[in-house]
Amino acid sequence: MSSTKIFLKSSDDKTFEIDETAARASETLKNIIDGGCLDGVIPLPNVSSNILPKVIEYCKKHGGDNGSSKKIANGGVDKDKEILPDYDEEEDKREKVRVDELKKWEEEYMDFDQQVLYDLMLAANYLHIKGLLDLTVEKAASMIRGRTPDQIRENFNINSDFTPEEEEEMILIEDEWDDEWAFD
Amino acid sequence: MSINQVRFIAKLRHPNLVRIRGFYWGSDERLILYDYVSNGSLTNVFYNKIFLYFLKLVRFIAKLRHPNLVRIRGFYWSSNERLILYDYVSNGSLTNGFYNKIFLYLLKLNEAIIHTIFKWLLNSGFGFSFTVQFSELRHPLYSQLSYWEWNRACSFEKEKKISMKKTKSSNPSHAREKAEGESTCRTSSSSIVSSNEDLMVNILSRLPVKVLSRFRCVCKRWNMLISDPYFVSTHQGRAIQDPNIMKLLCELKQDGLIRVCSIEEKEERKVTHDLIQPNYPDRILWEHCYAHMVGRPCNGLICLEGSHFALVCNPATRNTLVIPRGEEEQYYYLEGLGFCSSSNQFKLVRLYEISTGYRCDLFTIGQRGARETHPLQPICSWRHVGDFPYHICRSGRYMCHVNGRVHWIIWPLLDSSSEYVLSLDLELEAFKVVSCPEHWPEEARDEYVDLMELRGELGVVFLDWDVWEIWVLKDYTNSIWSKEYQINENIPGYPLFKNLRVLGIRRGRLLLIINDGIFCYYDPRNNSLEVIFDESPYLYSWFVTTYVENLVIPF
Repeated sequence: MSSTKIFLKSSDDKTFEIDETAARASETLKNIIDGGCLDGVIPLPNVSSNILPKVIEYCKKHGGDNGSSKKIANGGVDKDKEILPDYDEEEDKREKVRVDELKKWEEEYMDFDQQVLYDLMLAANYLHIKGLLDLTVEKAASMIRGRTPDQIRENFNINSDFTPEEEEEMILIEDEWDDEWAFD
Repeated sequence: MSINQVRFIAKLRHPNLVRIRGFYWGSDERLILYDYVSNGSLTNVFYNKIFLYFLKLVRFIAKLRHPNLVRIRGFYWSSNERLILYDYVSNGSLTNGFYNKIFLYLLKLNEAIIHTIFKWLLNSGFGFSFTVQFSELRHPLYSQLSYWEWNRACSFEKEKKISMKKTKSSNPSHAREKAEGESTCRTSSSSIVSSNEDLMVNILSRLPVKVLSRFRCVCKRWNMLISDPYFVSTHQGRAIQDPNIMKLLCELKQDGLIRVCSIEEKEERKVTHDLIQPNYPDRILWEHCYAHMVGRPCNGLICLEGSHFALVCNPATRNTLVIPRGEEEQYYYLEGLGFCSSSNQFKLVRLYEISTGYRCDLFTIGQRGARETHPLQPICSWRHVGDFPYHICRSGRYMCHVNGRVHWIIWPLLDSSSEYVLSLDLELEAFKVVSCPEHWPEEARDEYVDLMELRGELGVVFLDWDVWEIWVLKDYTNSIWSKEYQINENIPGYPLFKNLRVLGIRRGRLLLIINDGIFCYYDPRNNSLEVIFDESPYLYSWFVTTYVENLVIPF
C-alpha cells in the first residue's frame, strides 16, 4: 500500500492530512491526483473544517473500493447477484458479517444533526464521493418523508410562491393527499 | 385512534348513510364494518366520497382544541334528538357559564351555526380571521347533504384553510414562535441544498409517490420539478431497482377502491395495506357499477373494466383516462396494457372472437411524462392490427406483457404440434408463435398455468408430476426455453402446494402465493419456504400482481 500523504485545506484555512488511497474514494480528488495537478495542498473552498474530518473519516473507511458502499445502499446484495448458482454458505456468512459490521459503522457515523447532514451532503456532492452522497441523501429523504409541506418550507427555507388562486388549488391537492384518518 | 374517536365516527347517522357498526384499526389493517346493503348503490364511489367528507368535517370539529373547550368526541344528529359526546370533566370549572353557552348553542342550532361558533372561537382563541360570511353559512342543514352541498362545504373548508394560512404568515408572533422552534433547521446549508437541482432530484426521487404528491404544494419550483419528465423517469428508475419494497395490487373492491399491499424490508419486514381511490370521472361516479382489474400492471398503470366503461389508471397518482368503446357493437375481451419503450407509448389490447379465431385491436396511449408537452396529441381510437387463427387457453387469466411484447397461451392448430405461446410485438405490431419443448406435459396448458414476467423474460410455471417447474423463454425465433427453478410440491413442514403462483423475484428469492392466499418467499438455494402473511380463505389469487408505483401519467 502506498502511503503518500495528501494535504487538504478547508475553507477556513485549516490543513488536514489524508492517505492517497483513501483520497481516491473521491472522484474529484482522484482526478486532481491523476491529473498531476498536485502541488502540496489541495484547497477545498466549499468544505469547512468541521465537515472535512468527517469526510476524511468516511474516505479512510472506504478507501480504494467504491463497490462496498454500493452494496450497502442496495441492502447488502448486489443486483447482479440475484441468482447464486453455487450456494456457498461459508462465503455467504462471511459476507453477512462484513456487511453487518459496515452497517453498524455507518449507523454510528451518521449520528449527527441536520445541519451537519446537509453540509456533508454538499461536500460529498462537491467531492463526488458516491457512497457518502447516497448515504446522506438517503438519510435526508427519510427525514423529510413524513413532513407536511409547511414543515418542508421551514426546513429548506423556501417561501411559497404561488398566487392566491394557485394556492387555493394547492391546498385542495394537499388536502386530498392528507388522508390520515386519525385525529391526532 | 382511540376508542372515543371510533365511537365518534360510528355515531354519524343519516338516511343516506349506511351505519357503521364497527372498526378494526390495527397498525397494518383498517377495517370498517357496516350494514349489509342489498342495493348496490350505496357502495358506489359517491357514497365513499360523502363518507370521507363526513369524516373530514367531523375531524375538523374534533380537532379544535382550546384550553377553555372540552374536546368533542361525538355527535348524534337527527330530527328529534341532538346529542354531543364529550370528555368527562371532573373539575366543575369547564362546565361554567362560558362552556354552557356554547353547549346550548350546539344543542339548539344547526350545524351552520356551529361553524360560526367555531369561527368565533378561533377568532378569539387563536387569532385567525375568517373571510366566510355568516350569511353564506345559512344553507340547509349539512345533514341534508347533497353533492352540491358537499362541494359548497368543501369550498368552505378551503377558504378556512386559506385564511388560516394567510394569518399564519401575517401574524408575527406566531411566526416568531415557529422560528424559535425550528431555528436549528434554518441553516444556510439547507437552502443551498434546496437550491441545488441535482441534489433535490436525488433526494426527492427516493420518496414514494404519495409523499411527492403532497410536496407539489411546497413551492412552484418543486411542483415543476416533480412533474418534470426527467424527474419522473429518474424516480421510476429508482423505484424499479429498489429491492427493499415490493408492492402488490391485491384486488379492486366493489366500491372502486384498490387494495395495495406493500412488503417493506429495511431492517425488519413491514407489511402494510392501503386502500386507494382513483379519481373516477364524475359520470362513472354516479353510476353504480361493478368493475375489475384487467391484465397486469404495466409500468405503473393498470386497466379497469366495468359493466359499461373501461379506463386506464395510475393508482399511485390516482389519475384516470376513460377508454372509449369505439363503434364496435360486438362483444370483446379487453386484455390489458402493454408498453412499447421505443415509442414511449402504452398500448391497450382487445380481442374479438371471429369464426376463424380472434381479431385483435389496439388503442394507443401516448406518453408525455407528467406534463403537457404535447397537449394537442390526439387521443387515438381503436385500430385493427390483425387476426390470428389460434384458440386462446382462457380461464380467468389475461395476457402477459413482457418487454414490449404481449403473450397468450394457445391451443395448437394440430394436436401433434407443439405451438405454445402467441406473442404480439407491440412495436412492430406483428404476431409470432413460439413452440414449447416436446417433453412438456399436457399440464403445461392447464387452467392454473400462468405466464409471468421473470427478470424481464417470459416465464411459465406448471406442475409436472410432483414438481413445480418454472421455465423461462430465452429465444423467440428458435423457441428456446430454459428451466430456471423447480420447487418440490412437498416441502417439509408445509402443506402440499396446490395452485402456485409466482409473483416475482427479490434478492434471489421467489415471492409466491400458494394455496390461494399464503404469501411466502421461496429460497431456491436451500429449498426453504418462509411465510410472509396468510390471507388464504379470502383471496382470489389471480388478481394479485406485483406493481411498481411511479409518477407516469401519459394522458
